[in-house]
Amino acid sequence: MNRESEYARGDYAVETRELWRRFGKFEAVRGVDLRVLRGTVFGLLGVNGAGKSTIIKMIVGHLRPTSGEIKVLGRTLAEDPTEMRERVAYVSENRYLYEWMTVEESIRFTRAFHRAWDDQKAAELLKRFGLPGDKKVRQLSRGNRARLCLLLALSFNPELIILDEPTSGLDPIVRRDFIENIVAEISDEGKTVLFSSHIVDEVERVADCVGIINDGELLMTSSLEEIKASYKRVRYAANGARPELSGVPGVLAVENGRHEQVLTVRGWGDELLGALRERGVRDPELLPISLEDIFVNTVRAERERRAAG
Amino acid sequence: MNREILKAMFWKEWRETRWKWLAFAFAFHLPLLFVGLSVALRDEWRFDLLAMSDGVTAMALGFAVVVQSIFLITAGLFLLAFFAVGSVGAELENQSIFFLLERPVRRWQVLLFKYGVGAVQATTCVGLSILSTVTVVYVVMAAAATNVTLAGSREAFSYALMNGARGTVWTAFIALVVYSATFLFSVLFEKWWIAVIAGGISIAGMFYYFGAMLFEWIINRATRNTGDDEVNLDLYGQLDPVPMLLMLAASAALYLAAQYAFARKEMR
Repeated sequence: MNRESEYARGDYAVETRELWRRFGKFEAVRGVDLRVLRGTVFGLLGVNGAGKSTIIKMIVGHLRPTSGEIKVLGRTLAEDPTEMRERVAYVSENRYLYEWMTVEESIRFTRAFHRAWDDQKAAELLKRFGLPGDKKVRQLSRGNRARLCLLLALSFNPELIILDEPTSGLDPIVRRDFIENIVAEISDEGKTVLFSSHIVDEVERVADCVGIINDGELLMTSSLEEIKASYKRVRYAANGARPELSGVPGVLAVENGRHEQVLTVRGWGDELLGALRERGVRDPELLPISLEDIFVNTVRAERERRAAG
Repeated sequence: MNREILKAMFWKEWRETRWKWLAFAFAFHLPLLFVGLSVALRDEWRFDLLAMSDGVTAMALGFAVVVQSIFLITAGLFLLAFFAVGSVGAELENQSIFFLLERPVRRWQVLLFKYGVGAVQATTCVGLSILSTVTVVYVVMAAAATNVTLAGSREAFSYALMNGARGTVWTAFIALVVYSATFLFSVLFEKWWIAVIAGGISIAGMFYYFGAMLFEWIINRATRNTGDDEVNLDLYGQLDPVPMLLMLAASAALYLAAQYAFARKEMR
């Protein structure tokens, strides 16, 4: 079954409809419709303060939406929060742990709460992560704290793992290691992962689907393949007079070189190609595009659109 | 909540608060320490333990109960406010409570457990301090004064002990009300010091507006009327269910208010 038909079937691990959250007059989340398919890794991408953590905190029930609906694994949180927490693991950016507990005590303590706790898995992860069992949490490095949180989250075999900026504050090596651990864990188990990050290459490396959020608004959400198929960088020679491209739908950004222009466009196809040719673009050449190009130009275009109107 | 969870949560609370419990138990015996030090260090305060009689034992034990009670109902209540704030406020402030809220337990269960453990700690610290004070004073006198014999003063001690036991019940109820009020503040205000200030202002306000009337009423209810004009040291001569039930009802109302606030509290 391909992803489009799965979307149509509506088999979502997380589904939000018209989700709003206001703090006083400030609108932190604005009408977000988020759908995370079961068995996928969904990366929520946005700059700091874009509203990612607020959305995630509403999904896990730490914050209440001002309006809108949230379903996790097909049920609302109000229906049975304890059952939900048996099936959903949440690792927050702040990595909440009891500082005075040792690593082993943290594991034993957490184990008591989960019926599906897997001792063997916890032991394997402890070994794989190289965590010192007798050390107190307060003595652990940031990387080891993050690994411990991941261990605690994965050892009760949750169906959905929610990670809010899981690599925040980690050095690049630990960050990569952390992401690889997530990938190793979820690749063959059919779990769903929703994680937020502002680090684009991290999302690109792991995610099947991506949502870009800016100023509390979900600008786009799609599979990574579809995004890359839809967004293009187009280069053409531009000596002398440059084509006037304002008003061409789909053009997100224009970069001016000395003898060329490079466009970032959305919805590449015959229609857009025709519109560019009408404006004097000759022999356009398609360049590879990264998620970072797409992210930066989508957010920038949205900001310009708002500033203009 | 199954047995495993209960055991784990109890273990966590115990590990987190055992030293605090001990420190507060010690703090609630400060009057005893001050009196002991004063007697030991100042010549003019020293009395002739050798000459003390059994009759004086009863008087001394009565004084011990009254002094300890005065301490509990004044400075002790502020100590209690500090104690109560720590039971949930500290976890809210450093956000470690998130760890529990992410587990498959209900919020009200987390709060009930914390309230229960904290209430037991607070009431035992306060209530048992009267009994332990009476016992320490008696043991010191019995050991040091040759005219005070264990056989001869047993009746006076038993009498003071019974009063102390009733005093434990009385002060435990009063402590429960103060603990519950501060517990509510610590749920309402995430900063522990705001909760302490709010608790302190409430206690001071309670003293200011109801102090004389309230305490006179409670003391009248707790003291057996001897009919003479002398200073009545027979504090806690009786148990009266009416004020106790009222205090229990007030505690329950404060606890339910804390549950209500906690259920609606957002964890940012």
